[in-house]
Amino acid sequence: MKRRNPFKVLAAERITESDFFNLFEPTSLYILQRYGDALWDKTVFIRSSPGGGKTTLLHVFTPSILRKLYEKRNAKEYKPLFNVLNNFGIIGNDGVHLLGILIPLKERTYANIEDLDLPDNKKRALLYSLFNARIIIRALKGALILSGYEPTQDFLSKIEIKLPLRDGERWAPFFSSAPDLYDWACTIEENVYRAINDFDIDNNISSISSNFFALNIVNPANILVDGNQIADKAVLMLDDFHSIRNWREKIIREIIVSRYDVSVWIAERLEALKSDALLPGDKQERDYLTIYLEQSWQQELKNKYMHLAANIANKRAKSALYSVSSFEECIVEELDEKIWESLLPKISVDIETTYPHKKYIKWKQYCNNFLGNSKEKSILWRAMKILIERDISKKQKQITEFLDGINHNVIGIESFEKQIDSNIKGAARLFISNEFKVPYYFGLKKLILLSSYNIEQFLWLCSHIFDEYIANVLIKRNPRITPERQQSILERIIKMRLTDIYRTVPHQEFVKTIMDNICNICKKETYRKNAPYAPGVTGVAISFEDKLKMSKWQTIDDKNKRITVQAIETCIKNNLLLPKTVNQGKKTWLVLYINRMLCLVNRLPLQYGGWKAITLDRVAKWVSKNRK
Amino acid sequence: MRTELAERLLAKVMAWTAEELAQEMSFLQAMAKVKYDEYQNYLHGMRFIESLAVWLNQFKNINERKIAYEFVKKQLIFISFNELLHLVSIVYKDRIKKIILSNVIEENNDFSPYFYQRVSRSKEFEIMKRKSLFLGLSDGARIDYFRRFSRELSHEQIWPIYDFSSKKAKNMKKQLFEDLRVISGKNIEFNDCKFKNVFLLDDFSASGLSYIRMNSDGTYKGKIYSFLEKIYSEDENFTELFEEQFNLYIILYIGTEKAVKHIETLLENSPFKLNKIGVYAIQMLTEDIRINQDNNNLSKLIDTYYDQAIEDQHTLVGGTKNVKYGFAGCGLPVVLHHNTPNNSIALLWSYEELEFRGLFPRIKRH
Repeated sequence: MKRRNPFKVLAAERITESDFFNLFEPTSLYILQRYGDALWDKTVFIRSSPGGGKTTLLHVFTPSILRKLYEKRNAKEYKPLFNVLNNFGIIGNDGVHLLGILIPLKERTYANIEDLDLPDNKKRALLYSLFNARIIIRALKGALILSGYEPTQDFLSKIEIKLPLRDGERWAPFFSSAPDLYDWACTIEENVYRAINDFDIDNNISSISSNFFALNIVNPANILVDGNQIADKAVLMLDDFHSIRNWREKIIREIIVSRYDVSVWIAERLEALKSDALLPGDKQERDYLTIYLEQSWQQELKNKYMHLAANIANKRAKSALYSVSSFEECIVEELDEKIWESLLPKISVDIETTYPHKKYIKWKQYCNNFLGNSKEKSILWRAMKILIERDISKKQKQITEFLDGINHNVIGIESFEKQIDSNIKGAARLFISNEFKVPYYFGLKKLILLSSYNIEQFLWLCSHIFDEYIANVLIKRNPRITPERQQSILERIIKMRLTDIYRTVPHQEFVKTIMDNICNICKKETYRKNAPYAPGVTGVAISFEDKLKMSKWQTIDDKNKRITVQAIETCIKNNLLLPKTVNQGKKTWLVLYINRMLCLVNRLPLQYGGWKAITLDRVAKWVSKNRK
Repeated sequence: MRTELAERLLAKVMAWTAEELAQEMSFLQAMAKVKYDEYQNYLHGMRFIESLAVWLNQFKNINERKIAYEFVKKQLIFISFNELLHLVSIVYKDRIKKIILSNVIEENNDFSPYFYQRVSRSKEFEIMKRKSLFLGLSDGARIDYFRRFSRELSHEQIWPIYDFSSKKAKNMKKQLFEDLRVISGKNIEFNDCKFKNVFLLDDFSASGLSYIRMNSDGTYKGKIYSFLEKIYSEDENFTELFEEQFNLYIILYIGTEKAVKHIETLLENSPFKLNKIGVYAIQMLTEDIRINQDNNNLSKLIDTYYDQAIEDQHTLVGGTKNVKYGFAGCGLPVVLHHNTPNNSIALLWSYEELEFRGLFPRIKRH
């Protein structure tokens, strides 16, 4: 379906099946694929901040998607996804091998159960009853879909349930047929709703279940359609697991300990986690596997993410009403050469006048003679200025400097060529944009970096750019968005977004204080004349010892310290800070990179690299000042 | 393609830059999708964006268009079907049930007002509930949905129209008797089985005049008045259906403060001896949303772009010289998904065929 602005189709839950295939990018599955069999042998936790792509990933494994994919496997547009899932071992030319049972938990019913004024055991009974009922209903419907039937009651009789007899195990009513099982599950679901909505709740509850017994029923080995086993394996996918606040840990423990016949994947937002669990990185333990989406993309799969985002952008652009063949066609990727031509003399003259010393004459000649376009030359000149500043700031001085403060020895080209690298040039480019008010944040690559490895953030940024592209088309102007306009749009919407984030997160004022202070440190360090951390500083780091202190501060008496840790956690949960463990020599650091949107607002580079060490006590001081 | 033309026209009439167009279209598209496109009285193929473009194009200059656009953005109130349905879904549990519970508590000293749950489980409540009759004042009452959302009520106590026949009244009485006998669990007198509470439901009222009004000669008119006249007539089937002094409740899903007050006052001063009178608006529209005549910029537009052909004998009933600010001068900025009430400013609902076409043209009801 052609949409006016397909970048605005965000909520994975609301995308139709045909939209899904048009918009989904198979590369995103790489984040799961690398774990191989561990995905099926262990309980898998998939975690991210909102919009990280959890729900989209889970949807791929649902029966309707897999069945459609199987049916269309030879069609060109479906082949890439089919091949990727074939590598997972869950689909092939002989059919679909996986029964995916997706239970979204965002629905208020589960939270309503938690809020009921009942003893815990009764609430637990309701919760598990609802889970079991829904698992059974979805499994039966899924079985029909995988077998090519409509998921309606008319076809339930096609299913045969072969329940294994286990001594000593108590099942709910013994089911002779799938229709009976289905009816039983529907009745349970209705009873739970009635119990929740009734004034007279207490009398309606019987202790029906206290575990996921349904997972043993829906083992694919037990389910036959037309005499054939429907799949080789099954996975229960619990989406938005963070919605079940109070029962979360108990259910997780129960799932891991019970070792059901069916794999379990749990997708949840970081907001559900305590600080230990928030910190990097992916964990593979004996019984469970944890995948942090944004962190994984950032730390291990950077290039794949760039590729993924670009593909997503192009797919969406192609599916628009005012379609283009690629997203790059909507935007201008480079500044006009004329701008660089006008900048070059300004930059070079500035350096000539600021540093007239003979010492750097060879460097200046090198830049003058450099064979490149105006942009390359401008950057080179500005990079030279950084190197000159570095030279000036060196502690070791020549004896003549003590006489007139100037080192008269001419520095050779070799030293220049040795020091000039992409980082220095990166810093130079940034400094030029800041000094001469030239756009910096434009182009697809920068847009992808601005997303901080969050797909929804990326789509949201693109949607505003695309809106203006459409506007240009409508008023018959050159539709491609210039670098100036790209930066202006991004600046406006990012400031609005940050205002919204700061307004809605817990500990708002402390979160903002911490982020403002971190950004100030980054700015200060980045814009030092000698750019010691070229291309710039975009994060802070705390020591390993301070990281351990964070856990202690969670329960400490000192309110200020508690708030400090809570505020840092909030920053991480909302993707304002991206944590990464870095080893430097013998020391381990927890680096907290700021969300790239904040880099734009503070005119910082978008690369991940430079960081500045701070102490947890310093952060606590910021919070303390704010509390006064 | 038509949408593209409409957006182009919009950009042209509003003289928007690409930047402004991008921002405004984002907002307009979202609102159109969520609400405005569902307006039922657009011509075929017309949607909100097209209607807005055409509407704005009628104003002579850019300043007027900006004023009109600002009004649409900041003051317009559009009640969608889903929003109305939401009101219907909550009316029994959030309002009506509480009224019935309060009546039970009042009549029974044993019940405490702090223990609603206990009262709701009592036989007295079941009896009082069954002795309540629910009638629709118009098809806007959505009695079909009300019935489905109010599962605690019997179908026998809900009827889509307030103006029902004598034969129907007789059947209602019979059914009431049978149900009360079952609920009370004992023998009861047929003649004692009468409705104690009458709930008249409707979707919207801005002035209340169509429900009850007093003419210059002191006589009354209106739907509620007609209903009460019938109840207190000589037809035994009606007089025996209701208690001599029953409780009358008017439930509006959406109503203005003005309408609620008007209906309350007139009912209290009417010649009918009612026990209790209650008028409720589940979604109250407060006075501050009204467009006043002292709103200089918008008032100029309202005056300039008014077509007198919009008036008819029904609009005069409102008591104003014209309907620039809507029927009875209500001055509402309100549109309902199925029709724009004529209590809203004329700029909004002016008929399709008139010289100035409204943004949400109205279908005449009379």
